[in-house]
Amino acid sequence: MNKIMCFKYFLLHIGISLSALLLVSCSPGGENPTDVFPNATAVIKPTSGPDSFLLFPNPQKQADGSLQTNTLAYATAYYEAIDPNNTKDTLAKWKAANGFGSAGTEVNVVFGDVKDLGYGRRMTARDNGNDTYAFMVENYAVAPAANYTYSSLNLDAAVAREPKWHVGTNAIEFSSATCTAAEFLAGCNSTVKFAKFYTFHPTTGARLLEANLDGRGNKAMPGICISCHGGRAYPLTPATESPTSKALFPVIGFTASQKRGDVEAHLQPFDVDNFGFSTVPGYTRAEQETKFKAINKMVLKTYPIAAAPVFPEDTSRRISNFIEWDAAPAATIIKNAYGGNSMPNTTFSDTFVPPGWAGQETLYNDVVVSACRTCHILRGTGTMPELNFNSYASFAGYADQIKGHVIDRGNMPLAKIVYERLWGSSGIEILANFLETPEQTVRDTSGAVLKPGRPVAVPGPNRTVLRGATILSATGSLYSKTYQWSIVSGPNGTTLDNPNLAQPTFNATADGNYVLQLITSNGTTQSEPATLTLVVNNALSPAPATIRFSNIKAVLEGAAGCIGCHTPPSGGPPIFYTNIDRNGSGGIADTTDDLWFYTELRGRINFTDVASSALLRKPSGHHHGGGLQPGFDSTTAPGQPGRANYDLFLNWILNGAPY
Amino acid sequence: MKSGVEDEFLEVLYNVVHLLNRLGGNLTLQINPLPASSIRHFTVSYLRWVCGKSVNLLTIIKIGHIHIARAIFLLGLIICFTTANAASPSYIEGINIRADAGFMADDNVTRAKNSADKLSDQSYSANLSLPYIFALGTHFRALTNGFLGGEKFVHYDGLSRVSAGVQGELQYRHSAAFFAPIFALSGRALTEQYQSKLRDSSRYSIGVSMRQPVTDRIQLFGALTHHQRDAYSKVFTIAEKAARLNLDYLLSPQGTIYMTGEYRVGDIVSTGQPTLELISSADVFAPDDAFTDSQLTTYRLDGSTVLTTLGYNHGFSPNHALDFSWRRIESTPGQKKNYSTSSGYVVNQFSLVYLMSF
Repeated sequence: MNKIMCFKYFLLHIGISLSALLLVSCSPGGENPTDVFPNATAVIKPTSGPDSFLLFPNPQKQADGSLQTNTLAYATAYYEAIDPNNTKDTLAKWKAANGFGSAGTEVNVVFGDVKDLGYGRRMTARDNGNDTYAFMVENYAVAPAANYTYSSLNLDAAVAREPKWHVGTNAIEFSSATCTAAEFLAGCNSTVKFAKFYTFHPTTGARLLEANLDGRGNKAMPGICISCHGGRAYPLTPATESPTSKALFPVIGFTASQKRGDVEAHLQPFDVDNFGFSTVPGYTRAEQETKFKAINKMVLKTYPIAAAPVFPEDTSRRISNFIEWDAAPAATIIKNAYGGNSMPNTTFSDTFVPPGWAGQETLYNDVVVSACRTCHILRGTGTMPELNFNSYASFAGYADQIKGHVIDRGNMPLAKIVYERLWGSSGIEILANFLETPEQTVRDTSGAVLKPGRPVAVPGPNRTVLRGATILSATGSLYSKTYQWSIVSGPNGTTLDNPNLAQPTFNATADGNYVLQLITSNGTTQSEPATLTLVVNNALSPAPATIRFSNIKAVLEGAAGCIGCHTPPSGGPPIFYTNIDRNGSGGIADTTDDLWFYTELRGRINFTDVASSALLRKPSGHHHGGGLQPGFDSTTAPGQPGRANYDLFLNWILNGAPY
Repeated sequence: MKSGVEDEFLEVLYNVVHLLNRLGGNLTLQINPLPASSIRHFTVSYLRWVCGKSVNLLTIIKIGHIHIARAIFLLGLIICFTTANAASPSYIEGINIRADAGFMADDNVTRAKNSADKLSDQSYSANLSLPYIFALGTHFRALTNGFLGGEKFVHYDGLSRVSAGVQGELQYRHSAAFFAPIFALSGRALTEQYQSKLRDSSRYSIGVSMRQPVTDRIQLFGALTHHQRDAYSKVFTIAEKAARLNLDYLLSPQGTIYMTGEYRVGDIVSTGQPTLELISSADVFAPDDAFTDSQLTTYRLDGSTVLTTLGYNHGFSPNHALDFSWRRIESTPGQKKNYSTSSGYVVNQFSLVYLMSF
């Protein structure tokens, strides 16, 4: 071979080698966005729009912006209340304490929680034979595939008991609790059984203070459970002079037990019609029907009953007091699903429509049953049951609140799956038709139902103020990032400083009525204008900035007449306004009692939605056993004598409700 | 001289382009305008075509698995320089072009375990290769091969692909005796463009092998290989270690029957409807863009694969042959769930290939 040929082949070889480099360097590049890594640590994706699932509508927002019912401190106080000696801090201990595996009746079922949390659930219900019950459920979510929606894979995982997708174990114990000495003095009854909620780590079995139920991050116990079990979200009792020197879980005023930790929550009926079932032998619906009936009977036994039991399924039900939760509607659902009293049918079939919904069956079935009933049937009180939505009238009475929660805020329905189902069904149109009135807009100009996530301007309630500087606040606006305030009308000489801030300063130099407008925006999306009426009255007394708890207490205990009901031992309303020995110290009206009273009262304020505060709505006649109270007529203009107390309370709240 | 170098280089590359175009794939060469005076610019244009994106030489350095590329490049360079520095190449065994055209029937292109997910298809293929063999002294010789090809599936076009690559092998034989074994160190790299974007990938393998004549009719071949594939979707980014044993039996001067057994450990890929078992065992999964009608998902799992091949090769002349083979592939996931309904998937492939050289 001559040198030229050799050199040519050498070059050719170099070329091939270089091509090799080029080819192998050309990895495809980029990342496939649809790749899913099921073994990766779950990343909590930031969400936009409504993200308040499993939180109470009044989550007890604190001055620092935290939501107290969603804090570890709240969860800690809860477990300290229901398990003061920490004897159930693991699943194993909890099971042992509740007799699992020993004499008694245990029923095991596996089902898909299609319409609530989406889990595949493996449940064991236990009847201890002494009117105490325990329910333990392993939750399975094949989250990478199902994205926290219901999937038959979740059910498959529950059937197979696949540990990889076991995301947690929830437990409910229906039992009594020992009262502490201080609680006993405060009226605690250690014989009354109530539901206690636990959640445990899927692997270690350790009791958890918080859990991620819907892929949107951890939320604290017990709120994630009790928010849909009828529970109440009262603020923690201050640590000041508490027996443990720590903040205490609150007492819910109208519980039969009067025990801290009794949140007035209850067990939900098992809505078998809406469960998913496996085709694997042993786990079909038909094979489990009798087991579900047994469980529903256990649930029924935990419900208080208004009068002495007549039917066998009601024996051993506790006689309720007149103020606590009215269990009849929930009990009726269970009974009717099995053929009515005595529950003759083996198979669950829920077609019952309460008499109060006659003529409104579509709204009831497509909206209330589908999106509201699971949680609301466990709410309401004996004297004020409307919140259970057991009649059209009850539901209609909350139309303004329903609009606010569903159409504006998006914190109802309470669970992600239920929320998405409502907005993905014809139910939302049916609900919009119900809500739509000349005063209540629920559709945009194209006729589409307004959806939460759009900016909503909330300039705050109309009120009276003094001349001079008044700081306005648009911080209650929803999904808003920029603000535009303007003065629409009012006497001359008034200024509005920093009108593009959430909290501008309004300066009035003359008495009179002023109308201001607020428009908020999020990106290019602008809210509808909202107006705020300020009545400037330089003779207003006390000045808003000087209003304190003592001023409020004076009204509650004075002419308003609140203490006609809000006083022990009536066992009536959820809060007492009289000066009582709240800490069980033996004295009355001492500074600690006053501080505890203040804390309880502050819990009646919703700082995320001031106008919806119970402290304002109840005395102004909204779902209040006592009806409209003197000085609380919120239908009149600010500054009118008929709403003087309302204005006083409102200005106190807007000033942060200082002690 | 510089101009001559470029001419040689361009000639090779244009030939590659020409062959690709004749294959009828969807590839389009975009070299525009080619600066006549710069190999570097040509390389950039070439990369843009091969990679489907703009790159420069710095980018190459940053791309993952460059160590493998370097290793292969280094191997190539060693071979090149060894060749160039040899006092005088004793001989060049031959420079020819090999081509084949084939048909294959696959009864489980989804590599599915459940019968409901198993899809079958047939494909036609054509491949072209340019092998070079260099003697490197008494005991060593080097083989290099550049190849390109395409495969077209009848029903599931997402599986259709074109590929191009190179491979090199450094062989050692301690004597020229008939029964003297041949030991080899080999490397291979190729890039593939599928109709399914998820599958677009580069593949690399490196291994050692031994070829041992047993009788004048029987020859054994064994190899240990590491395979790696880097794909757009991590589902198809896999690594395997393989042990292969092949037996050739010369039936007649024209006919050879061969049997191959191969055991692979590493990643396996399976496509099907989501099942608890697949999702629980998978390292990664993604909706498959090759089987869009049935909304299947493809999973990558740890596992092992046994491949057995039985084939017959019939030579019509020194330059023409027909090859028929049956290959059975059985993959088994490494994680055996207690609720598993079966062990893994099985694939049968029947292929008929016509080979020629010129």
